[in-house]
Amino acid sequence: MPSPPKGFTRAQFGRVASRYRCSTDHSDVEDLDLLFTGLALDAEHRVLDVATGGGHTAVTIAGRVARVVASDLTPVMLMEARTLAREKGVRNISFAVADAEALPFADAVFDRVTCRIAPHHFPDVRSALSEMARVTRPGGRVGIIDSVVPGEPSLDAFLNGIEKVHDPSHVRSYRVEEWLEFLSGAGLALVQSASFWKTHPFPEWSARTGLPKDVQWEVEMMFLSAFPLARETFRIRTENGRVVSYSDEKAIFVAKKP
Amino acid sequence: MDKELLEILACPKCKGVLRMTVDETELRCPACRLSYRIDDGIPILLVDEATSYE
Repeated sequence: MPSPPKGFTRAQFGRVASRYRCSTDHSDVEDLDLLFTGLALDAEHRVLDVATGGGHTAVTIAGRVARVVASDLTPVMLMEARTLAREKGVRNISFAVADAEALPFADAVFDRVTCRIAPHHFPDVRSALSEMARVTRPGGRVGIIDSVVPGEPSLDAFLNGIEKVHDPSHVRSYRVEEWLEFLSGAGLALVQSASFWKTHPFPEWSARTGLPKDVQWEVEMMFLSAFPLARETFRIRTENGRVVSYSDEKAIFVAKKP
Repeated sequence: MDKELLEILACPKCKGVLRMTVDETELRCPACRLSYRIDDGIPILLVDEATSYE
């Protein structure tokens, strides 16, 4: 299936940028504790947060390191991230509009590179990871958090199918095995991996991408008509014929540049 | 745009050094002859949005 053009991704996030700064899914930073453990952040570190979105990861990390650079493909998203940084009084953060697949940084200038809940938007994850590895110094670490799908093909197709209708800039959520292959393909050695399930209250999740009501309803219908294994796996909760919530799996990978 | 960021930036196309114009509105790659604008303090480092200069 062809990927949406990047201009489309930018337009999509440009329209809904402030919802990401305020979104509970994206501002709930508990998963960051897990990521930080694997990253072994240091007060001297310079960190790049790729596809920072609303800036939650970058702003949280900024409190623990010397300097953070936050990049995103969408200028309006970075404006939101800058607003968040100002609200939190964070000053050691810089912003650059950049394509994850063609990062505008010199080689080996970052101690750590992070990318949280974003790679499923990238048309070419392999290129993005190879760029993240390039800008990481030898001995440095790359930390990734993203949605993953189960190995069972029907569950993979079910969830990715819904995500693409919910968010037309969605390219693909990968299986854990695919991620491990991407990381080793970028020359990175896995240090730590973990996964956890996250529950999404449906009404907020459904409205976030700015879809018209009829498309939101189409997405809800896809959940309501889920086959039994999908209903059980993704913990689809319904009440009075409406979807209340569902859960998906997020994986955390920390890998080292040799 | 902060100067510390400038030190680690590179042209997204050739990864070569970027230079800021005197008026601080653009970053230029002398190798690619491409100019990247700076909007409200944020550099737009996208090859597709760069302009050629002579």
